[in-house]
This record gives sequence, C-alpha cells and structure tokens, in this order.
Amino acid sequence: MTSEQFRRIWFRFGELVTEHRDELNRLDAAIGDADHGTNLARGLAKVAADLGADGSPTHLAASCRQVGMALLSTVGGASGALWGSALLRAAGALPEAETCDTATAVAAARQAVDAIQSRGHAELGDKTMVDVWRPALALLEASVAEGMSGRKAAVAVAERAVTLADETAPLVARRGRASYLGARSAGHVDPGSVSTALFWRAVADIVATS
Amino acid sequence: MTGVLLASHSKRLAEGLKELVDELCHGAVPVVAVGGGNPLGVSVEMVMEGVRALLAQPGVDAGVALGDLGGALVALETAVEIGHLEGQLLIADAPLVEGAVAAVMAAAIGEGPEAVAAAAAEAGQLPKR
Repeated sequence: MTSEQFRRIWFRFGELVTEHRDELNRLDAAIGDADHGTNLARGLAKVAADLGADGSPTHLAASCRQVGMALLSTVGGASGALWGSALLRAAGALPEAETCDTATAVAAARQAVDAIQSRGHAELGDKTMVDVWRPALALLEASVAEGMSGRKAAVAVAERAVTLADETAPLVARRGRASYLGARSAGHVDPGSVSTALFWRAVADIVATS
Repeated sequence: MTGVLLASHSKRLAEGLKELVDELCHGAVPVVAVGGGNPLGVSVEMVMEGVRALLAQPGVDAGVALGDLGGALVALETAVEIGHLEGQLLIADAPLVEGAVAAVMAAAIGEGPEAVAAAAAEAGQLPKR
C-alpha cells in the first residue's frame, strides 16, 4: 500500500458515506439516534480536508494518525472514539515511509480491529460493527496467507462485508444504544456495520484501480 | 483532593447535574461538566479539555469521571489512553445522577480516586425506595 492509496481510500470512504448518508441515518433512526450518516460524513469531511491540506504528512504512519485525530475531534459518541482508536492503533503498525507491503497493511488492519473490539467491549454477535470487522479481517488474513494478491483480497473482503452487514439484522443488540431495545432490536440492520462495509468498498475501489 | 468530571451527550444535562451536586456538597468538590450541544455527543477532545480544566483547579490531584451513555464511556476511555491519563482520571462504572452524588460526597470527605469511583459504582446498587 502506498500513502497515496491510503489517502485516496479515505477520500473515497468520505464520498461513499456522503452518498449513503440518508440511508445510514434511516437505519440509525430505527434503533439509535438517527445521526450515524451525518456524524460520519462530517468526520470524513474533516479527514479529507486535513489529508489534502498543504504540508500534511505524506508518510503512512503519520497520515494514519492524522485521520485518527480528525475522527476523534469531529465525530461525537462512540463512533468517533472507536474509529479514532482504531486508526491511532493501526498507525503504530505502519512505517514512517511512503509504502508498505501487503503483510504490513494487514497487520495494521488487525491492530485497528483489536482496538475497536477492546475499546467497545463488543463480542461477535453483539450487533455492532465488530460483526463485520472481525470476520472481514479473518477473510483478509486467510486470503493473503493463501497467496492471493492484496488487490483481489480487498475485493473479496468488500463483497463479504456487505453480506456480513446484512446478517446483523436478526441479531439482538447487546452493545450501544440499540441494546436498550433488547429483543426489539432484532429485524434491523446495524448502521455501524453498514458503514464498515462502505469502508471496505472504498478500500477495494482504490486498491483495485491503482 | 479528588475532582469529578461529568460527561453527558447533552452539555445542559451535565451542567444541570453539576448544579445539583455543587449544591449538595456546598461547592467543596471541584466538578467539571462536559457535553455536546449542536451536535449532541461526547467527543474525546471535549473530555481532554474537561480533564485539563479539572486537574488545573487548586488542590486537585486526580479525577473520577462519570458518563451518561455508552458513547460517553468510550470517549472517556479513549481520552485516558491517548492523553496518558492513567492514574489521573479513573472512570466509574456508575449511573450518572446517583453516581455523581455519591462521588462528590466521597470526595468531600477526602477520599482518593479509587474510593470515589467505588462509591459511585455502589450507588447503582442502592434501591431508590
């Protein structure tokens, strides 16, 4: 992965979240406070502005930290802190360099997922974005271990992530605002899982075309 | 002494609670209220600012934080990690209103952060009637 690709992934993620903002808000309205799309789109606009600013860092680790800090400062509630923690932790696995190999990028993704899970105290099946992150990471790691290119693996993970997000619908929420609904949360897709699937689509879009 | 940080998605809720506990402890315990307004929500940045303000008050050597909903707790935990505040800010697993009352009462009699956080957590077990 190059730092140029890394930046473009975040520009693309911002575009996708903005396109799907109303849909994310609608999903959040059913079991949350109806602002997931608006919140995340606002944070990603700040990310894009920071990454595109004159004099912003070009190295992978520094860019990743910059994204994390932007999300921490602009996205309120759990989403900002979870995404911010993920990026700050991932930055520690990335080099102060313009490029890294696929294994390093995958290791950074693992750090991000571990941070999300430990920060949110969520387990698989709790109807949170962990239900997409954890199996998506497992597929990414297995694909790369089998010798698949990073490019092909990203496309496979993006496709799987959409299915994983849909599969949160029947689950009963045990974390986050939706957990107050108990069994009544079943039947609704988790909005954080849908935005996570959009992130993986952004990764695939950029990695597959560059 | 131990100060208390109140973090709510709504700044007005946090400030209203501060008004209540300030009255209950006659202003003897430094209390800082942080929260969102437009938009609602607790960001890591506002927690960091609140902690700085709390620890800057005379005589305050540690703080105990209480949050309203899960997102506030996630922001508090993240602030402790990235601000390297371990040992300076303890997060209480407590109901916001009763926990804040218990926390300032414990702090007012000179308890340290562990005991203040424990008092807040125990408040969740007390029946209301």
